[in-house]
Amino acid sequence: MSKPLLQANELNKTFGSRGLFRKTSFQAVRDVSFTLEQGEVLAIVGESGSGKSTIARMLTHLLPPTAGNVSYNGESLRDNKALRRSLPTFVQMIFQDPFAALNPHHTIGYIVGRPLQVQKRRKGDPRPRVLELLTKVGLTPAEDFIDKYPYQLSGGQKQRVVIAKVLGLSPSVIVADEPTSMLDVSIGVDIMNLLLDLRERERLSLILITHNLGSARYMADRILVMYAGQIVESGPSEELIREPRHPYTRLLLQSSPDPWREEADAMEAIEPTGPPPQTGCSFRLRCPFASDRCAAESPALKEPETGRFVRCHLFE
Amino acid sequence: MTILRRAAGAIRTAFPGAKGMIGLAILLAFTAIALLGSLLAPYPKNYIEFEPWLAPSMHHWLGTDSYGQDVLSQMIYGTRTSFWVGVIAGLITTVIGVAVGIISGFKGGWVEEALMRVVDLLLIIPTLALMIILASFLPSMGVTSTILIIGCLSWLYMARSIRSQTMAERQSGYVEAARMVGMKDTEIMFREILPNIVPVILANLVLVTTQAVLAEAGLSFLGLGDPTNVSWGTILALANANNAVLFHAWWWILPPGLAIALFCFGFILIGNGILEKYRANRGNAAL
Amino acid sequence: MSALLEVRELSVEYPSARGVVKAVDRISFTIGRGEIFGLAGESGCGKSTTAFGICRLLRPPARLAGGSVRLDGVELTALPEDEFDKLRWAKLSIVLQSAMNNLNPVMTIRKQLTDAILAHEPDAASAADARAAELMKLVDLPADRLNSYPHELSGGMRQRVVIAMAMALKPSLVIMDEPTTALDVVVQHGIIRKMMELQRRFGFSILFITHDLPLMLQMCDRIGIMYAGKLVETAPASRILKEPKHPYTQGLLDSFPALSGEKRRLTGIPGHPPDLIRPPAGCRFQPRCRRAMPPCLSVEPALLPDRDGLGKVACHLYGEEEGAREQASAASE
Repeated sequence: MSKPLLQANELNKTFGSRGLFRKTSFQAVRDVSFTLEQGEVLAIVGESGSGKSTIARMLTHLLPPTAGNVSYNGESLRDNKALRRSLPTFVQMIFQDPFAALNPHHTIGYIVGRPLQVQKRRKGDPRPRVLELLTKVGLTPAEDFIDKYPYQLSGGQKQRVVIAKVLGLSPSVIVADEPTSMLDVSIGVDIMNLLLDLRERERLSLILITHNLGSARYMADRILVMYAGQIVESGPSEELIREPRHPYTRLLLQSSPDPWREEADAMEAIEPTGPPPQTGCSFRLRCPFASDRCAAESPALKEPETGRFVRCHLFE
Repeated sequence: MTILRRAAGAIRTAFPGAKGMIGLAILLAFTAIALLGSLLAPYPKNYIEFEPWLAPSMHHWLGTDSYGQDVLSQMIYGTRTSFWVGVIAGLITTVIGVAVGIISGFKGGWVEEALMRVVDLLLIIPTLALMIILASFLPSMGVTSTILIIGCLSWLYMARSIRSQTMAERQSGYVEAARMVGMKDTEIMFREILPNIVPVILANLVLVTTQAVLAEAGLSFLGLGDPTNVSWGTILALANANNAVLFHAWWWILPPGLAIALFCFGFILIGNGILEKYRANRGNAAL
Repeated sequence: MSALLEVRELSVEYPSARGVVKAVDRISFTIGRGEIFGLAGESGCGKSTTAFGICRLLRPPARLAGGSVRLDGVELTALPEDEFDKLRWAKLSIVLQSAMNNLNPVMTIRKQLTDAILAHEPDAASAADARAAELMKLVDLPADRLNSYPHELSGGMRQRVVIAMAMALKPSLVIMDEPTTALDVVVQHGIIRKMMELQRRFGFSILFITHDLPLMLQMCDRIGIMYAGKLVETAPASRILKEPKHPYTQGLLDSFPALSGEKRRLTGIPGHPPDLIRPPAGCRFQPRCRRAMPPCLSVEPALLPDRDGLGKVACHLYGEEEGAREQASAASE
């Protein structure tokens, strides 16, 4: 059996801060496991604070996990130092804020060219390769862009520069953390389409981190829904959107504006009043279907149908 | 010709705008005086054969002091000392301050703890008192010792402000992006972050250079400088010691004071010029 | 239904280093009593500036360059400052995106709510406290939250407080500028539903501004689409959804991935918005328009009524088709 391209295994991340008098800790991610196959687009969907960005940073080793492990092609990131060193050529990340991700002090040519030198992808002058990369992401004519500074570019163009830079290292996996949320919608569509085209042309696999179910459906083959640091549901995107199982997914879906949708019966959810509970199901205080069992025991992630995973006592 | 034109272009990019050019002109004038001192001065150094307390005249543009020295000549010789003290002490301070500030701000953890405790420790010591003590203990109190003392003691505040700025920059997206492509820490610190904290460095540099010139003047004023050397500070010190004010000898007091002010002003202008250019590079974004 | 708000030829401009930016360029629209009118468009199209122009919140150097705004027959642009202050909150209130972060951090919610009431009704001192509790109930916040400080509330709760404040004096028009943009969708959904419920109950009109066209299509009666400082189309929401006329409206609609229906490739809109200091000649959308024709390059299209009079569109594509065009231009002369 072939190894999955990327595998997240029981990932946990706890952020702690030791104050003068008390120690506070916050568990951002709890027991998150998933795989990514070659050529697949996986979307991780959740609200702010659901832990989705923390996962992105653990996959790219910008943050080491508190427990659990990420492996690429079966090689564990934790145990393999050589893999960690060459990780930039294997997985790359596109950040949410293209305005901040480009150093205002460097030219586009430097920003795109420097990683090639750092990773020894290019001996000598990287300029021809930079021009090629800029063309690839639609910044044409590339000669007009290469000597510009970031402030001379629009938001969409900046995000294209980020993508060009990332492509230069020819990674197998790109983790895109809300790549369009800071952009105007019409520009965001261009970026999404560019990523989808690159997936075909460059044989890329993508992990899309987003709060927007619409973009997740548009981009991804599979969707993973996060709530309070846990995966609450996952499955093929069309099925998951058409027939959401977990009450949270249903709530998220009915709250997302979609004027094209026939109005279905709305689920009466309870407004959140405080942080999610630490025991039992983390969604139970907002869930209209919550029972005593939900408070007593945390539901496990079960697979009621092949490929569909749900973390809810209703589906066991 | 082309070389000249190209050099002019390079200067214009480095010190753009009228402000920067004026600042550069002021500093160049001081540099010239510092380098060509003996050629420009009308009379030899420490020549004391004139009549004391002469008001400015055609023979003595800035009059003479109570020892019978030509004030203009003293001023010109003094430029060299003050200039080098300012520039070199400023450079030493900047190098140490920037290095300590960026490294501690970027690395965090025990590196930061250790460096910052050293800074805190040194900050408690009153700088001037330490300078005075060191100056009186050092066997020879030449210009070099003065420069070293000032340079090695004035980087503390600079290190602190650069550290906090670095900590802010460390959070920004481009640093994370640099990590993501596998850049080494040194490259991230000095090629990614450093250009972005230029405004803080400049503001500090202007301050430090100014302080260095003043500190040298202060040390000389207290009689702790090199007695055989002339600087703007020693001129002021002598003027004070000899009650120049009581004798209405303004020509003895004003020139060194104005020279110090003008020198610092030149630095401030250049600093502002570079800042403006820097802002333009970032699309005039607020800093 | 007579119009509550009448905006006519409103222009806002501000000077910049390169020249005058015409942020809003002669736009006209009306909002009926009890109507929810939406202004949509992308960043920099002038939708927020229009709102600021209407409620006189423009910050210098931006300034009103012309036009009139009549609220219930009263000309707002000519009103002296103190007269306008009386109107503000009482007839016209404003909910901004940033408002939830602009609550005073060192004052309790109770104090801020009662202050808002007392500022306009100084005699209500004894009743103010009860009124504050009532307002909290209105937006589904527990009354004990009155004693909280803003930082003790979540973003959604704070935005509810802001809405409660806007309701305090029963205004006839509420202007909402991206009121839920910074919030999670579930929280947004709750607030919008509450807002709609209050609107049905009290019958005020809303000028709703957002970049989120799907949200707007769900909640607004009528929608105006802005592009580069111009109003390019106005129509009932259902019409915009089913039959968008202006190519920009079509492109905008085609930029939002849907959650229902067949999954298909979105096209978005190529290019980027024009420079407002030197906008392109003719139609401002022309450089990005797939259907641009020769007249688009030179003649600026006017916002003219459709054949059926339900909507208005500023596009040469509908020039020949509409017999109304000549009539309308004749009428406006």
